[in-house]
Formats: sequence, structure tokens, C-alpha cells
Amino acid sequence: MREQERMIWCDEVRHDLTAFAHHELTGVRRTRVARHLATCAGCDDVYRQVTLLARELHATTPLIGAETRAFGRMWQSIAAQIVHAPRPRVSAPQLATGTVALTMAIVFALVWAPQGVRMAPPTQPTAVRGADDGTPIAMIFAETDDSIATESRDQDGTATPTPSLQSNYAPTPNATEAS
Amino acid sequence: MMTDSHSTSTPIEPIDALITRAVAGDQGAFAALYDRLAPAVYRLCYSVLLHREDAEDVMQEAFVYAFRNLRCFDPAKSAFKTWLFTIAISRCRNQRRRFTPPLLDITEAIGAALVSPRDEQPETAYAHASARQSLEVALRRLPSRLREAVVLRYGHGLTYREIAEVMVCPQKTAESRVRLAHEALRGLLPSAQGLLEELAI
Repeated sequence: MREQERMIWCDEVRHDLTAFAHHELTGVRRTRVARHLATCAGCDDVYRQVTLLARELHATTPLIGAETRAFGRMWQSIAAQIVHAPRPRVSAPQLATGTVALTMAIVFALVWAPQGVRMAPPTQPTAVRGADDGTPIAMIFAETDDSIATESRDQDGTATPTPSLQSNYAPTPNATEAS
Repeated sequence: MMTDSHSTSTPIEPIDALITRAVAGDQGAFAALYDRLAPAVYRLCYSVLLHREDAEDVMQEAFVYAFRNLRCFDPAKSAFKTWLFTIAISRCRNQRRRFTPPLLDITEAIGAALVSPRDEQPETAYAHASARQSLEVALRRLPSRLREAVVLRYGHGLTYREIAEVMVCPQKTAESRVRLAHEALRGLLPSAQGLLEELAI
């Protein structure tokens, strides 16, 4: 049982070894790892490997990309982009012109809009008439309730019932005959 | 104006003062900020993308964005370098998402022979190049998030809290990513002791 507990303890400590090597552990965790390393040869060996790799990485990683580059040339490009960046500020003359134009537009709209747009009642719907004899091809909206049942004529003059708005509620006599 | 050689004769002006001057519209302050931080940002971008042209493009994008939005930077929230790194990492992720056909970078292919960052002895230069090449190969095989974490930790010495800020994740997540990257690199890299001995030449 003690051996099993010790193994669990070792796993927990090894989980913290990298942070311990980086001096990122504080308080209880740091003390716990330090005490365990003093008593466990296996974990101490792993810790030595971790510190060795850390030393190597500290020495080698800064070398990657450390060669001298044409930073001056790159600065020219950056400086040009900063200088030509769009400026959000609006100059005083631009602001004045814009304000005047907007005011005039509002005034014109207020003066002429009521005269230009008459609030007329909706127009009466009309039937679409045939070209030859003026026979209605189809009634879009009925003028009265009696004229809701409509029909249309083909080019040869055959009457065909046309579904009307009312047909949604009750079939018209013509529609029944045709079917 | 930005130059490739860094002058050490003039006293170093604090970053905060440079930011204040840049916000006021001083072009010289922009150049000084770039001069101070461009090598680090380029190193970060290159280490994450492992492609020179992409790293240059992303670095320029990051600086342009940062300089245009300099008024949004709040020194109470983070250091300027951390803020700039956050922008750079975000741009690196965007760059990775874009489809780019794999191209052979000839300068990378012969980089070990051409590049010598400092005036080094040939043996030292070779050892550095060899160690760097081994690490680059290992980094390419890491998932991108783990690569970012290890580069920020070892390449730039950021703490776990700063890594979390730059990667926009909880500190515990940053800690886990560093640990997982570390464990993966232990399997990917050749003997660490051998490389350290090479570097000690």
C-alpha cells in the first residue's frame, strides 16, 4: 500500500518538475517537490534530465532567428504604412460643408415632401381586358361580392375558371362545372 | 532612423517615454521603438513560423498594427513588449491558417553555411549552427501551441503569467503547454548533454 501511495506521489511530483525547474512553483507545492526530490532517487534523476534540457533550450532557442536581418529595409515599409494610414480626423471646412449640405437636404424635404406626395385613397382594382373584344381575361380583385367568381379566356376563346380569393373558402359554381 | 547596427553611445530612453512621444506623433520615437524591439519580434515570429519571408511579413504587420493602435495600449495591463508579442503571435496564427504551398527557402537550406550571428570561431559557429538546426527540426515537429510556449519561455524568458497573457489563455494552460513541450522535446532532441558540450566549445 505504501509503495502504491509513493508511486502516485512520484507521478504528482514529476508533473510539477518542469515548473519547479523554472522556479514557477510557490508555497506548498514547491516545498513538497523539494522534499520529495531529497528522498526519491528516481525523481531526482528525472529532475536532472529536465534541468539539463532546460539549460540546453535556454542556450539554443535564442539562436533561432537571431541572425542579422535587413531591419532597416523593413522599417522603410513600416514607416510608409504608418504615414499613409487613413486619418479618421475630419477637417473644419469639410465638417462645415457637410453640415450645410445636410441641413439644406432636410429643409427641402420638409418643404416639398407634403406637396409632392398626396395621401390619396387606394385605387380601385381593375380587370385585365382582352385585346380584341374587351372581354376580361381575369379579375384580380373583385369590385363587388357578386363578381368574385371570374373566368379567363384562352386565345381560342375557351372560358376557363380562374381561382379567386373567395375560392379559398368556397368553390365557385364555374370551378365545380369545369372539374 | 532605423539602422542595422545598434548605437550604444546615446543613453537608452525608457520604453514608456518612447511610447508617450510616439502617441504625441513623434516619428523618431516610432523608429526608436522599432529599433529596440524589432530583433526580438522577428526572432519570435521566425521561431514560431520557421520561415524567413513569412516571419518578416508578420513582423511588419505586427508593428504596423501596434503603431496604428498605440493609443489603445494600456501600460497598467501589461508591458509593451508583452502587448507587442501578443499581436505578433496572433498574426503568426493567422499566417499559419492561410494556405501556402510549401516552398523551399534556399537561404534556410544553406543557412548554416552563410549565417554567423557574431564574430565566432569556426568551431563555435559550427556548434551553434548544429545545435540550432537540431532544435529547429525538433520544433517543426511540435504542435503549434506547444512551439509557441517553448519559444516564449526559452527564447524570450517570459514567465508563465506572461506566456498566458501573450497566448491569451489561463496560466495553468500555459504551464501545461510548457511542460508538454518540454516532455516532447526530451524525446525529439538528441542527447542534451552532447549538445551542451558542443555549445561549450
